[in-house]
Amino acid sequence: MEEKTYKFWDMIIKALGFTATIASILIGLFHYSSEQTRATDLEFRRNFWQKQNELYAEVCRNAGTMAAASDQKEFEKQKEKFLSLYYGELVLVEDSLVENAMREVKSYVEILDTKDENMKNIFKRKVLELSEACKRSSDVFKHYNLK
Amino acid sequence: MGFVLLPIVLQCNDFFIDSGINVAINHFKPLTMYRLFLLTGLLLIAIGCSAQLSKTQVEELVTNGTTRNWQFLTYKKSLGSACTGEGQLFTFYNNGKMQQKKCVNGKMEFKETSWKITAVGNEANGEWQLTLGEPIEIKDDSYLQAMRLDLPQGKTHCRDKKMIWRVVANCKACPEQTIVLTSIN
Repeated sequence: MEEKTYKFWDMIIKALGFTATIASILIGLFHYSSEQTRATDLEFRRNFWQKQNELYAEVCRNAGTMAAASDQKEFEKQKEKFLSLYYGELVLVEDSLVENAMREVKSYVEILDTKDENMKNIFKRKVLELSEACKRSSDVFKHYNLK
Repeated sequence: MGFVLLPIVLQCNDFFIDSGINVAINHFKPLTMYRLFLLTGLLLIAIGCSAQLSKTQVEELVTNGTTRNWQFLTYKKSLGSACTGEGQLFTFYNNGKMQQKKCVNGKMEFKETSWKITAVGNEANGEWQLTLGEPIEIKDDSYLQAMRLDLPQGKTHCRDKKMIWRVVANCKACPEQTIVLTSIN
C-alpha cells in the first residue's frame, strides 16, 4: 500500500472513531437528560397526587363530620371549613367529577335544616357521593399519570 | 342501626370460621360474606330511605291535598285588581296547574302554567325537582323553570311551611339561586 493511501485510510478510521465516541457521549447525555426529565416529571405528578389525596381526605373528613354532627355549633364550624376548601385550596387539585359533587354539597348545605331527618338523609347521600367522587378522581389520576 | 347489624354480620363471619361446615363452604365463603355485606348495605339504605319523602308525599305537601298558596316575600291583594308588595303568590293545584300572581305598578299580573315533580336521579334518593310548563320571572330578568324542591318538615302545622326552590350553579363562580316560599294556608 502506498503511504498516501495508508495515511488517507488512517485518517478516515480515526475520524470514524472520533465521531463514534462523540455520538455515544451525546446519546448518553440525551438519554440521561430525558431520564432526568421523566424522573422529575414523575416526582412532580407524585407530589401532586399526594397533595390531592391529602385535600380529598380533608374535605371528606370535614363533610363527613358535618353529616354526622349532632350539635349546631360543630356543624357551623365544619361548614365554615368546608366553604374555605370549596373556594380555596381544593380548586388547585379537583377534577370536574369532584367539582360537581362539591357544588351539590355546597348548594344543599346552605339550606340544610339539621333538625329535619329527611333533609339530613339527603345530605348524607350527597356527602357519600362526594367521597366516592374523590376516590374515583384519585384512582383515575394514579392510573393515567403514575405508571 | 348499623351498630346493631354489624355485630350480626361479624358473628356470621365467626360462625363460618368456627363451625365444622367451614371446610365445605370455604370455597364459597368470600362470595357469601360479600353477599352479607351487600345485604346489610341495602338494608341500611332501605332504612334510611324510609325517612325520605316520596313523590306522592311531596305532591301532597305542595298542594295540601287540593290547593295551597305559597308566598315569596310579600304579596297583598287590595280591592279589585289592586295589590301591594314586592313579592309573588303561587297557587298550586292538584290537577297539575299553577298560578303566579305578582304586583306590577299596583296592578296584579297573572300567569298560569303547569307543574310536575320528577326525581333527581334515582327515585329512591328522595330528592325532587319541580318543572314548570314555562319559565317564570322571579326577580328582574331572573327566570326559573326547573329547580330542586326542598320541603323542610320542621313545622307540623299547615301555615308557615317552607318550600325552597334551588338551582344548583353550573360552575363555582356561577350565581346560585335559592328562593324560599312560605305557605299561607
